[in-house]
Amino acid sequence: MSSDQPRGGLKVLVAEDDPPSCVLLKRMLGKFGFDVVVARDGVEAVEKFSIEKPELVLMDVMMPKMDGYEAARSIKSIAPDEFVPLIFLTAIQDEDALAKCLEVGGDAFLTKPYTRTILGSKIDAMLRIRDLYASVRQQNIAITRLQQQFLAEQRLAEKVFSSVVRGGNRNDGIRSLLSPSAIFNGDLFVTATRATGELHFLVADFSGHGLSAAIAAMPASDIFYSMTSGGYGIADIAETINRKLKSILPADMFCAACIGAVDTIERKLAVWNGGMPPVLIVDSQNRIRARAPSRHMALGVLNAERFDRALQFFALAGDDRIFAYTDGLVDAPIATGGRFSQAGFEACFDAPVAPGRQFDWIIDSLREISGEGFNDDLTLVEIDTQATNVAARGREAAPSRAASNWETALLIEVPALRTYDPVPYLLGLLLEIQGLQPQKETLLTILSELFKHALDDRLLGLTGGSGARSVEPEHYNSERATRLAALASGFVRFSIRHRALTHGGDLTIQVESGGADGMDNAPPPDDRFNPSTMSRGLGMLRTLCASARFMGGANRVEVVYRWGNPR
Amino acid sequence: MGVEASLSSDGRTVRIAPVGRFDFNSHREFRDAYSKHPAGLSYVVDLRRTQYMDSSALGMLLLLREHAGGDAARVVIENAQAEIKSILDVANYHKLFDVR
Repeated sequence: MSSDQPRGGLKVLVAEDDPPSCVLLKRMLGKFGFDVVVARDGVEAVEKFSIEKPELVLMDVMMPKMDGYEAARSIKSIAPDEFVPLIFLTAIQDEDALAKCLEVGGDAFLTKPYTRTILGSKIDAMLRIRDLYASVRQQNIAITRLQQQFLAEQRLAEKVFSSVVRGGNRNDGIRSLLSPSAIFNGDLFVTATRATGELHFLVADFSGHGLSAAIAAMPASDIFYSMTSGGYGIADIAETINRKLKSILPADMFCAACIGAVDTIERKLAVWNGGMPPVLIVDSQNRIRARAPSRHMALGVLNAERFDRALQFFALAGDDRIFAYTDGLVDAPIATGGRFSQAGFEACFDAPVAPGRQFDWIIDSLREISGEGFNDDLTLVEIDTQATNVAARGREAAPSRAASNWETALLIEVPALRTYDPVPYLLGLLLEIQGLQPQKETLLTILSELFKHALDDRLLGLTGGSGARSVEPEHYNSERATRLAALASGFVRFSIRHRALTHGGDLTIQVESGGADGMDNAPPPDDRFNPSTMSRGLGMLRTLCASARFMGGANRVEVVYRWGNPR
Repeated sequence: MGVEASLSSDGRTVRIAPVGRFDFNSHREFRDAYSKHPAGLSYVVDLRRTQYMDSSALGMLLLLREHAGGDAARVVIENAQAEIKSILDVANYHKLFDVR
């Protein structure tokens, strides 16, 4: 940049008490194209700086009232965040005096006499620094704003995610460690109670980190809650979450998950584990009694056709507890190098610890061996299967809709019968048409038991009448799957009829099964429900319904469920 | 550190060898190792010199499989050390990959 180049519009404050010097300076600056403001002493310089807001200051050192040093100090303190270059012009040659020019806040000095070229170059150099300062400052402001925005969004997201992943009905007997940092890194733990009395839980770990990982937790937990309350089982829930995640997540993101159902009445545990460390079942002596290892790929990887719904089943004893956790626990780095590891985690169960203290013991042990590096980006859940005993059945409350007369029937044959569970659909009808929400738990139990009788007992011969083919509980699920796959023909027919009564209604549900080879339809001994000859579930229908009976043989059952206070 | 890649002399097999840590930071290098080759070739991921693998690496293997042709792809994962083999086992990667 040459010193003759015009620098139009830039406002310069000149503080100079000597009139000839002032005139000379004004002329030089005028040629550069500057807009010049003059102050005759230090006090006036400070005043004009505030009023005129110049972009450059040229300051004489020796001035009346207030010298240049003091004026420079004041000027620099007026707008500390802005950079307005201040150049001292002085005839002084003394080193200390020159050093003081910079000490008091001046950015440069120019000793008199100077030429126009030198003055111009000095000013140019100062303006370059000013421009650099301005652009750095702009970037700083932008970065600070972005950072604040990010932090605000993160706080908001944390709040939303926390309420999502900590929501649901927490039961007694469940303990969990799920830190905000783990949530934000894609860990998820939710529970919900199915109307049949099963406690559903989902412990999940999304791949990736931060917001992108956490965001996918929302559809997963939504599906979990709505399907559990809709009466669906965990295989259906796993399949639906998988389909949803497969459709929304990019190919390299997925969700390791274990979904469990604790049946506190039948004392069973069902687990679907895809990509998570083994779920542990621990007995009252703190011994690891069983493990439910990963049998599947994580959710969101496989397309619907390849998805595998298979569950693992375990019988539960009295006070068994279940431990589920993310790999953040076993991969936690420890002070001596290496990781906590599966073996290190399982060794915690060998310690002489009271069962109720086991959870704390694990966390304390990990905290101790992690030392300084303890990082709570992990999730650990303990479920006490005795304390979680849930759901009083058969609640009664006022219906939400006036009773009407209506009826419907549903016939399902093989092969649909092998995979389709009609119970949620039928329950949905009862809730929608008749508004029987308050009776939902009871109705779900009735429909489930009727379907189980028709399919498991009659068509598959797993329990009930044909004793020769009955199986032991521990082989039940694998044998059920085998026989279901081999079922070549057969049907189940539901007929539902509702009759309005004053202050309530009668719901008659008939279920009939048939069509399978080698099926027997011997009527039970006295054609009535006899607990000693019936499966436990079917026997329970007698207590839930106004009437329950066989219709000409064990293959057709009719129950009448009466709701409200009919007259 | 890094990802080494080579094409077999018959031009049919792409061999990709992540060295050291195979994690989030390997994303670009790993993608560069296969993206210039077409689907339909055989891809072999050699984990002999891989010391560590995280869930991002599992995701990258899925991307490779997609690039190689999805369900029609032939992707071999071989020579994994015990610790890494157990990560692949827990993730059940044998269901989509030929894990040797």
